[in-house]
Amino acid sequence: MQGISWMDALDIRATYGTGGSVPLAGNNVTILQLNATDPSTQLPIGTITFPANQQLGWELTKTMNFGLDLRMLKNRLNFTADAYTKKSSGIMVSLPYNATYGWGSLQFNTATLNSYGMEFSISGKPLEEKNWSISSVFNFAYGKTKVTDSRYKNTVATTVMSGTPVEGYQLGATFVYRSAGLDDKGQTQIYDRNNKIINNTTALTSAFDIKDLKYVGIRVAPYHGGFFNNFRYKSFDLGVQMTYYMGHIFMKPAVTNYPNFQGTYYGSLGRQKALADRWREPGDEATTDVPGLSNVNFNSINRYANSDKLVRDADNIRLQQISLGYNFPQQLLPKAVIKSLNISANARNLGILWRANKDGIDPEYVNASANYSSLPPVTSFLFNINATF
Amino acid sequence: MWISAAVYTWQAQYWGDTQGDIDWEKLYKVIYTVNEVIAGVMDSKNGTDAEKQQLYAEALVHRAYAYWCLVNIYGPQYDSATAAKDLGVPVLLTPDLYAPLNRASVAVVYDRIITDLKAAVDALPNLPDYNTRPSKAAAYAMLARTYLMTRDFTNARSYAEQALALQNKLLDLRTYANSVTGFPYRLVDPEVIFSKINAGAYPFAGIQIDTAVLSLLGTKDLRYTLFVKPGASFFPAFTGFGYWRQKYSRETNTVTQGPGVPEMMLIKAECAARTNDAATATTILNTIRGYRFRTADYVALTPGTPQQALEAVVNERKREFFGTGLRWFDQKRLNKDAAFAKTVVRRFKGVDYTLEPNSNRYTYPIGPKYILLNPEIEQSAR
Repeated sequence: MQGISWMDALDIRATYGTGGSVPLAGNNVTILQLNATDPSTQLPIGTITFPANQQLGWELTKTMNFGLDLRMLKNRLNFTADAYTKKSSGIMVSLPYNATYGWGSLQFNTATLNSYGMEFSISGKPLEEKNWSISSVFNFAYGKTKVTDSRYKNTVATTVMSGTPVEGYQLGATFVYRSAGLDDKGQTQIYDRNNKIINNTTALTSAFDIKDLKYVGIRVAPYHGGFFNNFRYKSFDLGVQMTYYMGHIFMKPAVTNYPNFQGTYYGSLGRQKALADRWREPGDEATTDVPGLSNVNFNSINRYANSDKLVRDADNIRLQQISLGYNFPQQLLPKAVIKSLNISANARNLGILWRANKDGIDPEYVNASANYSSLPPVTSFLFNINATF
Repeated sequence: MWISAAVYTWQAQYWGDTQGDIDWEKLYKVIYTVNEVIAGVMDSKNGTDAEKQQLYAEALVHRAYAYWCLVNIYGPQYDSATAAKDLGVPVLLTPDLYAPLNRASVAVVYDRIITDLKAAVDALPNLPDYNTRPSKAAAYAMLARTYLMTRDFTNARSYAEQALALQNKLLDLRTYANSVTGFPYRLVDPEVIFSKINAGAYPFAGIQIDTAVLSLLGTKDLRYTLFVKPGASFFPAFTGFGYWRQKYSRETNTVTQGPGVPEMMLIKAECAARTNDAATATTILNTIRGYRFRTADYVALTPGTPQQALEAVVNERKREFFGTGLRWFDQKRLNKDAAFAKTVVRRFKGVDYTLEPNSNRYTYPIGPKYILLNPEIEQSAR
């Protein structure tokens, strides 16, 4: 590299590997656990934790990776890039299973996956003076995993919202019901592939399958990364860290626990405010999709909660951390006693700076199956004093 | 309409597309587990041969009980004329996760129950160490229950008598007339022959008792004074009266549904009455009732004809089994008797719902989820 003055170093990496992993939550012999004693009889309690599943084998993965590291301009600008491609076969997936066999879900080697992705990072010091400096890091990652072969037939029961691999789609592909709004009783209707309306008292048959559903995207962000900046002015340090997640979707949680659920309702109300917008009288179906209370049933709520009406763009940018520090200059310190003194204040998990959805929901902390959101990490504030003696 | 309301009003469908049916799942979980035992215990290491045979036999009885529940919940009432083609439930006899799930006929399921119970008897002890474990008495009691369902009154009576020969103690409710202190838990209740409980999905505790049952009980019957409480005593409270017996045990929402001594006595009494032996039926009824009233309140029943004795037995079954869910199976079974066939009407939220005798609404629908996953499962006619 002699003669290229702007470049300090260039590294190129390439790796290839293949590996297998043993099923963790499944086996081809029955696993029995004896772990407790019945308090009334003192007899041992045995539980079958995994059934013998003869069709279960290893999960195989082949990975190829290329990388490039570049350092330039006296290390003031660094660039790292990685690209990988991964072929996995026999991916172990927990699929909804017919509980008539005794198991409501089972692990299967279902799919062959092709994934590829890239990551790159630029870090630099655009400004470096005696009193001033700025250093920044920008990360970007993109990943895509496509299912190229899926051994199991997809039924509505396994496809809607369960994340079952579907051939030709990305892993985590989300399929939802196509909402046809509410009927004049305030109950959810959906369309089949021929745009025929199915009401909430009609059970779906096995003829209703993935072709009657709508693909709306994936639930895991394919693009994500961070932007970290550090500003220094004399003895002050200011750090700002942001992260972003792009390109995925989430389901706006619907009310799943209606007040007359199973006859009686007690306990926490959770996120029931959508109930205020519910259907109340004939005609309301023109303005709302939230099923009304009377005549409501599981299908009405379930088909609404898993419908295209509630799909939202999950893109968001978050402020992870801000820190401010001050290094006391040597001349201010009593030389014989303290060698260095630094004070800093640090705020973490400051929440969302920007989100694509208009519902005020934090898409990274949604728990669609419950009436409650998962709590985002608590915003924390730290004050530090560091002294060296 | 929610599940409990859908069941209460005998709707065509109970469950939504992807909803699990807790009764179905729990019973088939039992079947999977005992099938593992049946498949593996004889070749297992350690343990004596006798121990292995006993465990094998216990597994057969548990499986028979589960299929008894399944076929009577999800299949139509056994009728010898149609049982060979009536749809029962899928029969799984090995822990095979890929077997087809076509519904076997009611006759096939019943044959399996009877075959398993008979095969189990020899290796079982007369009485168990704990009533949660099957014994000879339990196998005989289940045979009596099963034959009663098929209207084979000779066999039903014979097996009820064999069960009673091993276990026949009744709980003397007079002991608890003034104080329920010491009321036995399920595990030590002398009346329980084979302890089995409800699936536990729904608060049985919160179900209102039919007013017809309340008037049949009257107010002197200790089964009324001890086991019936106003809805306000329950949480959540409701109007009317509810079943309280399970509140005396540690397991506050656990209703005992397995066969017991009074049930065997009542099966024997019913079979006697049906074979024109009113005297035997009356003696049995009065033996039970002697333990169910304070001595001062006890009045012997004096049914005259065998038909009157049979009616008295049916009424006594209502008094013994109310609140446990067992009455449903009686109602379904007795529709085959012209004298007991009954049209039931329920009013729910201002609408009347009617259940005709032998209606196919006596058959619970199969959860659509299981049919979506295995389309070979056929839905019952609705």
